Amino acid sequence: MTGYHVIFPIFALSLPLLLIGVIRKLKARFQNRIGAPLYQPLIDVIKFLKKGQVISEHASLALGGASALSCAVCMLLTLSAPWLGVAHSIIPLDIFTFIYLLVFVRLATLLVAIDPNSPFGGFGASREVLLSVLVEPAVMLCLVSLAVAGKSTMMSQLFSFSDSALLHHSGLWLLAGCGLYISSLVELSRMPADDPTTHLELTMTHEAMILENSGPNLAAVQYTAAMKLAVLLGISGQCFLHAIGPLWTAGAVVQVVASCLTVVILAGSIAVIEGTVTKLRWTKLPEFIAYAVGFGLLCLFQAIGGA
Amino acid sequence: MPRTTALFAIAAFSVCAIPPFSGFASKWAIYQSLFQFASSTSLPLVRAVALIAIALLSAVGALSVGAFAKALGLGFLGRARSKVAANATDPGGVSLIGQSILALSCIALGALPILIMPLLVPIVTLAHTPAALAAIPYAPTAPVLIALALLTLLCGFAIFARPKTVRTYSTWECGFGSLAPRGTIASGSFARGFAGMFGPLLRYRTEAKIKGRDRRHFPESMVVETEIKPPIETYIYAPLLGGFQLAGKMLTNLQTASIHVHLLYVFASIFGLLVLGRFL
Repeated sequence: MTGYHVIFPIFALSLPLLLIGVIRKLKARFQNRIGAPLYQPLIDVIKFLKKGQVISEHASLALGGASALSCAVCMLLTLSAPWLGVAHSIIPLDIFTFIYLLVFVRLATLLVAIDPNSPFGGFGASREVLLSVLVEPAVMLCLVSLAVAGKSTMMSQLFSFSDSALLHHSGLWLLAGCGLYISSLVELSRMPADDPTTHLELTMTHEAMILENSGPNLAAVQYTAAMKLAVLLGISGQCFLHAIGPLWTAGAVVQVVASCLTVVILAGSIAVIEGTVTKLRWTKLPEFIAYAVGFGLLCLFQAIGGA
Repeated sequence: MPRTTALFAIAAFSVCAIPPFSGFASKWAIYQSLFQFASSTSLPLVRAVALIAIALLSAVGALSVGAFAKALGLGFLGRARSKVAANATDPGGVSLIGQSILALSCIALGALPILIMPLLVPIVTLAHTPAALAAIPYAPTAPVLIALALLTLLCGFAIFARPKTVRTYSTWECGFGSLAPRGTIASGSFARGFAGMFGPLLRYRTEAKIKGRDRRHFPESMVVETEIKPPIETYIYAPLLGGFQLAGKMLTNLQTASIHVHLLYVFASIFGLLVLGRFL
């Protein structure tokens, strides 16, 4: 038990909320507003935890239970996935377990959406299912191509700046980073796919699903979304960082600092996208996701060509 | 039906390959063996096929999550959509025991695949893969599950124990007042987005009939009907099934349950065999 074991969890579990703060702040600047302070999401979560709850008369125990489960799974992922460039082995997390823990979170969110019997929740869930079916192969192709090139499925080994088989695959890293970035925009219900701040019931996906959550329940859901954002963006950021050759030989401190900076920059890029781009029409979304799948296929070609 | 719901949820989670359950263990083994196959072969085409199989499998996995979220969510959670469903109760003791055994084995095999994985390794490890599947660390082991359970308890405590006031209110319906059970999402509308996007493949068709004198502003009746005609089911499975059923019906005509007719069959078959024996 060293200081690292105390500081790292606190840091890793609080950075996601800060990232949301960064996105909100930058977005506000785009709209000529000053914006709330960076730590506002943290304050929001604490506020929600203190508030009372309004629960639908049709909701069952599944509503709170599923949000608790998905929050816990996301905490586990945040602590064990190498999104901050720290290779540690709390869990022997391989890429398949990583993806299916995210599926766990999705299934729990779908149940939260359907449980209170709201038509909006139902339609949000229906949209989420469709998007996930389209996005899933892209994520899988990117990660599995990396795994084939590195000859290991363990995330801690792939993303550790030490697998010499992967050092000269800058192209593969870059393509995988792009593919994962685009698919995380869709998975996180971010701008070209879904507008997280609008509450237009006709088109929203994630917000429609969490419409019935309030108080501590809402705190859990928002915290879950923040952690998912951090982990997904962090993994795609790690891909970009691994494409930079000199970083492989730099010290661990440089790598961790670069990782943190990358996550913040990627969060900033989401804010830039949300400040400049409008939401895509629902029927145009498969074409957008096709870019992610395209990057995945390019990764695949790289992986079968090399090694 | 709280007990059946819980047990069905465990089964659904298992089918969707959610980590601590048995479905994940088996799916993980498939993924890992495909991956081993892809990284051990030197033929690019074979490797590409294995990797694309992994990608397609993940899409199918996402699809099953949708299907079982629908089955669990629409079937067991929320409001009953019919009177029959509203009066449904848990089945009695014995059938609950049966379901519980299945649910427990879902959990046990998922958390401890070591019980059965060594038996499966020779089967799932494809012929060219030298590395044994058993050598790869399997993530959802006991310490991880305990950590997950503790975290869940923590979050659950934050959600369930903290609120000072819990108010029950109707589900948000845009202020129209509580909608009828028919107003909630149904299985057809849940699949609509998916069916629409794969419309040409599934031969998806919707038809809306709006009637009324001024039907644009004051519709008097609205009927929307959807139809899905998946080609494989419609043109392969349905004729096959129909053929079997027809054959079955025709064969039942032979079974007259009359001793005389059956004696005739016996006589005819003996005669036929004798004739056959004469010529062969």
